[in-house]
Amino acid sequence: MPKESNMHMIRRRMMRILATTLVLLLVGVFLSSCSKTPTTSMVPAREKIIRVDQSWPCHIDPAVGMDNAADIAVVNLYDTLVKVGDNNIPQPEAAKSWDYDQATDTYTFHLNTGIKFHAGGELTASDVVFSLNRLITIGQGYSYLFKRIVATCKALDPQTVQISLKQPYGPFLVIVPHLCILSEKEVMAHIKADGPYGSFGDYGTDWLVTHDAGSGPYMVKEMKTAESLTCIRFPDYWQGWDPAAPDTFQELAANEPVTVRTLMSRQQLEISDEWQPAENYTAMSQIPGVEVTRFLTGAILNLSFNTSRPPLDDIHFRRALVYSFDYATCRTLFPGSSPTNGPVGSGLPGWNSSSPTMEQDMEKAKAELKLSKYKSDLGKYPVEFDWVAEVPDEEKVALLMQFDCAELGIKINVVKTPWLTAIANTAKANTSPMIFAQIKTSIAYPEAGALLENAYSSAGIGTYSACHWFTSAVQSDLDKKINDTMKTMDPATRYEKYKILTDTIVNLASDMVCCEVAQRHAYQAGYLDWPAADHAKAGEKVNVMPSYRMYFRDFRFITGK
Amino acid sequence: MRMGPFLLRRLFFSIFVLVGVSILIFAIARVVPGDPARMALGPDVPQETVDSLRKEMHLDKSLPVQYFYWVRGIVHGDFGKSLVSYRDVGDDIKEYLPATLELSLFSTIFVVVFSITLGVVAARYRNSWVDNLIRITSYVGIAIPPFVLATLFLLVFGFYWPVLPVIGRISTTFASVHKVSGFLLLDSLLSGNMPAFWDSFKHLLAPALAGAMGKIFQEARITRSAMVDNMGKDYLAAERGYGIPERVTMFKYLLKPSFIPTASVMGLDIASLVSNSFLVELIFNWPGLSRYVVNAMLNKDLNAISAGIVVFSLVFIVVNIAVDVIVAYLDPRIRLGSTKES
Repeated sequence: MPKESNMHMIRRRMMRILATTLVLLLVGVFLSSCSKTPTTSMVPAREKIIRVDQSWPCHIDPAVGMDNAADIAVVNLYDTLVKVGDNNIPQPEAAKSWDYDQATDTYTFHLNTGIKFHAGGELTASDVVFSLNRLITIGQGYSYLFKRIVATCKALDPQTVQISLKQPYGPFLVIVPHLCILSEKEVMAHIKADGPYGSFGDYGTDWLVTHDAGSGPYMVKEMKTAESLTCIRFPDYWQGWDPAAPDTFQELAANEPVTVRTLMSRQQLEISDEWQPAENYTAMSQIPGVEVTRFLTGAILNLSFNTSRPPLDDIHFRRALVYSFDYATCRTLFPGSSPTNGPVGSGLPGWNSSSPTMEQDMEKAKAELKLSKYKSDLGKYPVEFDWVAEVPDEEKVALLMQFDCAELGIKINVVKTPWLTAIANTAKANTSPMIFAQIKTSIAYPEAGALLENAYSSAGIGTYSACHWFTSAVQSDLDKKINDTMKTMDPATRYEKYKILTDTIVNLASDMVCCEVAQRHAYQAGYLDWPAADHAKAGEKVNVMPSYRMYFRDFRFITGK
Repeated sequence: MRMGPFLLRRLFFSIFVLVGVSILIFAIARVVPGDPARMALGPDVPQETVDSLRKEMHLDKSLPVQYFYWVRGIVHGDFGKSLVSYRDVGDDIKEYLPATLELSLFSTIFVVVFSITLGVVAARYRNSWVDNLIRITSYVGIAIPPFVLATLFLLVFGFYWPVLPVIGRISTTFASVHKVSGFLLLDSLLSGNMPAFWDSFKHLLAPALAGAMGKIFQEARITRSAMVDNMGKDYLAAERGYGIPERVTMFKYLLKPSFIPTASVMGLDIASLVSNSFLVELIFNWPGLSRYVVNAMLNKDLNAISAGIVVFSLVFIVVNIAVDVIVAYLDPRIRLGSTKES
């Protein structure tokens, strides 16, 4: 055989041996590293990390974020002047006390000393002023709560902040928790000069996408904008630490049911989000050590009626719809839900406990329909029920309503509407859906006003939270009642006014409130002590603010588990 | 065929394709109902704030004017700001594109290796039980969508037999790997962090396989068909007559001409791995560009939609050019035919 041929054969053989060796090596190393995930019995001490999954994105800039993921993050990263306690009333935090001057509608907050920022320096009144001005100037997030009522904010001295309002505003102290205090020095050190806010540049919005400038119990370790937020304990937190409190918390952008269930079973997720399908909660409750907790926090499943479009412009027709609905069956579609009696859920201060619960009454429905001017022309006036395509459960409600109304001879057309289209449609009266389903879970502050103010006042017209399109007379009356209620400073009096307002709205039959939706979470009860879940288990009231239920400094890891 | 002029010609025409795609997606994104400013700011923000954001985004101008502003920004390297992430879209793409490319490349390796192997084996043992088994498996593999496979893999390897991680690109127990390319496998190798390398390797396995499965079987079938078609050719009979081993005949002399149709389809499949892996990325919480763009579409994040689609178009263009080059290499007739014509 020629020499070249020999060399070729040898080379080929060597290549084959090398390739085989490499493959065997890779497989060997892979198999050796593919060990089962260590269970708690193999791990001597559990890492004190709480992982929760949430809908993404998560905006940790307190002037920008206003969804659940953002709220959970900022309540743990930042201090506020006042916080909302488990009894849903304001409690001191960065401010140790406050005074209110009724004559000038001015609040004066006296700050605690020794509150340190994560980056260094102490929290003073000028940081509060800076934070509020920043929030209002950027104009996003929860700024709308302050923009319309705050006149001025100034630092009287390093420990005293004065906020003057344009008019009396009863719930002011319960909206103050949305004013997170940032370190002015830290933010200004990271602004981009070429921003839209003049000498403040971009106000640090770019930097704060992935960093924090807070003084809260936790600080940002790593923000992977598409994946997760990891925060670690701030050792110099001014209120100190319990040794059993978590060292780390993580928010994960993984809420696919199969992923959540898998992570729960591997103890790689401590608390699930509240949007899992019912079947997944059932499956997760079977996992040893996992429990499903249920919170009634005033969240409601609401069907808004466009009262400007026939036949919904007739109050008797609307009442007929309200009486005809099978509320009991609807509650079975939302496991854990409760009956309701109006647009405010039972968990909220200001809920009217004496109002009758909504239940189906076909006789009353027929009687109301007889009074309607459309009673003889029902076929000419079909009603469109728009359900949001991204929330499949709403279709079930629509079909239930279609079935119930058929008995009255009312035709309901069920229309699937993408969310983007729904937002565009609700901007005008003639395109706004006739019936629009919404599950109102996000509560801006712990009072009935959070659900009533924007949804029923003229300030909210044209948005998807307020698509009733009342007549000017009705709207004017509602605005008057809402303004009067919101200006009432005494909480007890204000709560009574909320009840009167709720009754007015119920009488208008501008909505059908199907049920009070429970917010459920699966969590690792085997080794985690969650205060809000304990309150719920004991039948006590829980904090209606989702963020405060996830204030991780109050959590405890159960020793030895 | 001379490669230089060919590539230049293709690149020149690609510019027109990119411009056309950008105009199309720009117009479609803006015509779809929904106010992106209101979507981004929520229902409770006053209308004047929404109007101010609309003005900032030039949404109060006509479509051609908006397009002009967008192109002007692109030319200066500014893709605009994302209404979802509140960051420059360019920064988002820089972060998410490597994740998707890494996943796609890993899937591609699976596709190339396994599809060729299965196709050759099926052709070699055609009409035997081996061939039948591969064909039946192929039907099943092609029929099952990638997201179903992703869910199955998650359940099998994450839940019932928990040997693989189920979310993300790397475990949080690892400190951040020093970023050079954005490819975690490569970056961890470069920094000598072998535990991070193996951890990110394990994170890649399940999502890459889920994305690759359907394509493996599809291309295996095409390879098999092409090889069976070429098997009756005289030159193969001559080679067998010369005593050349069957293995050499199959892999060297038969596979090369048979691979041309597979290469064409493979190119499209590889490009689609980059843009169509949204559900796989969602299930495995993989921070990829496909998921980012779909989220942008759901939230009508106009700048992100436009930039993302342009990036995907670029990927398709590059992959198609590469496929053409490979096919020209595989088939001398294409090269020689072009040379003769010129």
